[in-house]
Amino acid sequence: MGVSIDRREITVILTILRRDRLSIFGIAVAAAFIATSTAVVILGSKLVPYDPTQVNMMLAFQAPSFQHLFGTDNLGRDIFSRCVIAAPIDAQIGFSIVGISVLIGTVLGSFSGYIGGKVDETFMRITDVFISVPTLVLAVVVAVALGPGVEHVIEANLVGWWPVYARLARAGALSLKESQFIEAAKVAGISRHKIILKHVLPNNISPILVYATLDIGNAILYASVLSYLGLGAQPPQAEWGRMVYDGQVYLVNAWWISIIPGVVIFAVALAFNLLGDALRDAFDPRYRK
Amino acid sequence: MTHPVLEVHDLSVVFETFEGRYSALNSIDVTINESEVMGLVGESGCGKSTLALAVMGLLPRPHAKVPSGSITFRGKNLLSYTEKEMEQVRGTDISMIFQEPLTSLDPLFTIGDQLSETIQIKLQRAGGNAGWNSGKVKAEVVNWMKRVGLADPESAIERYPHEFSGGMRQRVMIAMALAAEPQLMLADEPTSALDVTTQVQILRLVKSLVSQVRASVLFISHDLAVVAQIADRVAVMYAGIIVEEASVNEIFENPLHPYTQALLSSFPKEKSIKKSRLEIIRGSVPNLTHIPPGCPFHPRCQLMKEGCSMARPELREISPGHKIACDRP
Amino acid sequence: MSNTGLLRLEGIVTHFPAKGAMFYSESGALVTGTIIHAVDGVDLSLDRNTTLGIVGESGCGKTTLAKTILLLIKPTSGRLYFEGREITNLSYADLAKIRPNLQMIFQDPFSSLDPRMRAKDIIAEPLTVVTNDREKVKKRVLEVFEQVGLTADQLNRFPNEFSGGQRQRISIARALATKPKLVILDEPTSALDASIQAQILNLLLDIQEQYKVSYLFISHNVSVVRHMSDRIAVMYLGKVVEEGPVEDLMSKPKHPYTSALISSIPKPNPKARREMAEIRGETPSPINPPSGCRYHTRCPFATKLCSDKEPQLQELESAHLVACHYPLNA
Repeated sequence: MGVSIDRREITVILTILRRDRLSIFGIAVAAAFIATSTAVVILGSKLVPYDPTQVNMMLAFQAPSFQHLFGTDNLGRDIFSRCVIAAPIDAQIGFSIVGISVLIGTVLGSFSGYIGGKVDETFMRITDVFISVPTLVLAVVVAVALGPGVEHVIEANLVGWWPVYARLARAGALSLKESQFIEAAKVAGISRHKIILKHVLPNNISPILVYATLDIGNAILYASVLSYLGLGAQPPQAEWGRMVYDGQVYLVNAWWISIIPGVVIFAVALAFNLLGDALRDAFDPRYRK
Repeated sequence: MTHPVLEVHDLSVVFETFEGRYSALNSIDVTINESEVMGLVGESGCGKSTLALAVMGLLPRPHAKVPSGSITFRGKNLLSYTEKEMEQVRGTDISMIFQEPLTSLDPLFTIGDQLSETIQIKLQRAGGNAGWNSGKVKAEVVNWMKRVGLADPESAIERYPHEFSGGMRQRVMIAMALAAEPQLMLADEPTSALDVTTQVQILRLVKSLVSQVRASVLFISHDLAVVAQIADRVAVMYAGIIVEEASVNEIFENPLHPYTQALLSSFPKEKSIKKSRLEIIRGSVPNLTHIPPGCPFHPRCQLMKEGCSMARPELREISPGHKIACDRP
Repeated sequence: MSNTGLLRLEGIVTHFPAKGAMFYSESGALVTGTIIHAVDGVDLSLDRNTTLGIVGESGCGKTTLAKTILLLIKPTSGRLYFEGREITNLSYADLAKIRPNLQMIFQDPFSSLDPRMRAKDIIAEPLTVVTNDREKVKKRVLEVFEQVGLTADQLNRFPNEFSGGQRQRISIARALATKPKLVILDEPTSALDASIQAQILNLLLDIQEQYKVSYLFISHNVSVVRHMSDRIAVMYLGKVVEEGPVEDLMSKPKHPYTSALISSIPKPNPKARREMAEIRGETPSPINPPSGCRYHTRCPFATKLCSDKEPQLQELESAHLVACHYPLNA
């Protein structure tokens, strides 16, 4: 439990990550995704070859070519530009959902697991309720209730997302509770909440970090599904899930309008999954031997 | 006339890990004779367990490489065996017992079932297919349970490993290891996890059974005192090499290598003045990725001289049956 | 027995509910029951600047006893006195005030240090309960770090950068930072190589000389305990069966279990093989301790009295107590 991060450790992790082709793919795509999103936020439309909102019926339904890498859609908008512009939205959604869930879940779960007793029991029942409802259904219901918009997508997903981290953190805290170094802290007279903050939380992070990385891919996927269903980003704002939906009608004649954004979603989600997998292996002491 | 059962010659084993390459065994020579208990002693990381794994063909591939050496058993080099051939050898000609029996006993099978497997193979080999039936096997199983001192063997064989205490499980392991009447048994710290009082029982048991079955034993331990109770000959290891090898009496009465001497004197003694300071060996066991050049013990050795860091001393016979690897005895 | 002692235990009993616990009876069969009688009535006392060794094998309750003394576990009944004051029922917060004087060194050098904290922070932690003065803390950390034989440049390192012996030194430094009056050591060298063990034991003796600290030294390794202690208490199945000055107890043990335990110690002398006595059977389970004298099921001298009536600890010679109806060497 708990691998300390120091220079030597980082070198070992990087070496492991370098070895596996799949993980290299994962890192590359994930990095590209993050870089693109950041770039778009800073530079805006200047980054892309075409104005993503520019309608031009003359250029509609162009197949992918050198001028339009991903082709154009039914309104003549360059799909490549739209995909790029849409990147930060999913980045924001993915990282927000996972980030906030990690925060809430880890803190609550660690406390609950360490303190135990009635507090823990009550907390477990609460998380049980949330976990037993399928996350997607829950997200859809909440999103419909809240109405469209990116923030609402994040909030809708958060509801079902944090309990998993709470459970993970709780499990970690339960096993850490028995460690000798925690006993040593008790013997030193350190107060309970200080023990949780200084000893339990930092040591609980590794497994959660790994899971969180994997999870970003899922969060992006869920966000896309919600957008596909019409909740989330609204036109004319470009968003991958929405683009998949909009292009469905033209699937037979102009497959690229729907399929290409779909592939992008898939690739990014997969990248984070692979990255998370590779990180899990990297942290596994048996794998390293 | 003593015939060698196992001859290890010039064996080197190297591990490649993410943290670097390290040399677990460096040109080891050791021989075990018939009906002999050879004690292999050393501190953590000295390579003793690696040697046992190498003999059993259980080195973790692909990390472990064997750049040189041979392990001769019954005239053949075990290193040249295929995995299938090794499977034939393991458990029947060469068996092994470990420190923690829980990990080597399958929790899903009764101990009777697990022992039957070994006995079946033995009976098959002895009398061909006609020589055994399940009744005979069961009788042998119960017999062995009695021999290792398990109370109420008939019902014991129906139970699962987790239902037994550490000492009991160790007895079961010993039964499994000796039921096939192997020529060689490897024992890797078999009593280290047991209470002292249980340890006495187990050591006595091993000693008597082993001589009944006429097996040789490689008894690995970090505890010199335990080895003193059971071994005929002792080899002392340090950082991948053997530094001294002699009969058990010689090692304790007349240790010649500085490391062996230091090891013996760092034990709290019966007659020592209470609360007196123990003699220590300064420094600590080297990290195997950075073994000191020349004699690996030289940085901690009281007798160290210039030449010690240059050439690794060979294991030489100083008096009949007593070998040491030191240029400055 | 002294009444002005540093630590006193009166009738300490620590029981656990045995839900799902598995123990083994004499014949090796599985036993399930309702209560684990881990510590079943222990009286002990410890003076300043002495070492009391506690020996026993698995199931004897010595580790539970250590945790009970530190109040990591609350005793089921009995009283605990530290420096004359009863601490049995103190709250977590009140206990924190005593902690600086009552410290512990754990067995496993690999899990007793927080892998995410630097050595200097690990050692500073107990000091933060006592003072807020950062300079003072820094000074003391450096002082005790060097006392245990480590160098200042290692202060910033993480535990995984140290060897087992060095980690145990950090553990020792941590325990000593607050200049405690009593340190409980639970198998402090069992996980270390023989050559390192000697270094650590010497260090512990040096420290005791310098700080005049008392040790409660717990181990299954009788030779080590004998070497370090002034007095020894032998535990079996939750009770103290014999207690006395170390030389007397080791050379003329009065309890048959003590005698068997001592003769089971392997000596580094091949010619002494025959002398090892062999005790029958295995330690019974703490869930169902035998009636009367708990050792009677394995004792070669047991009579009906032994299975009927439990012997109490009696002082046979000055400061040498034994709980046996037929003590040896009496």
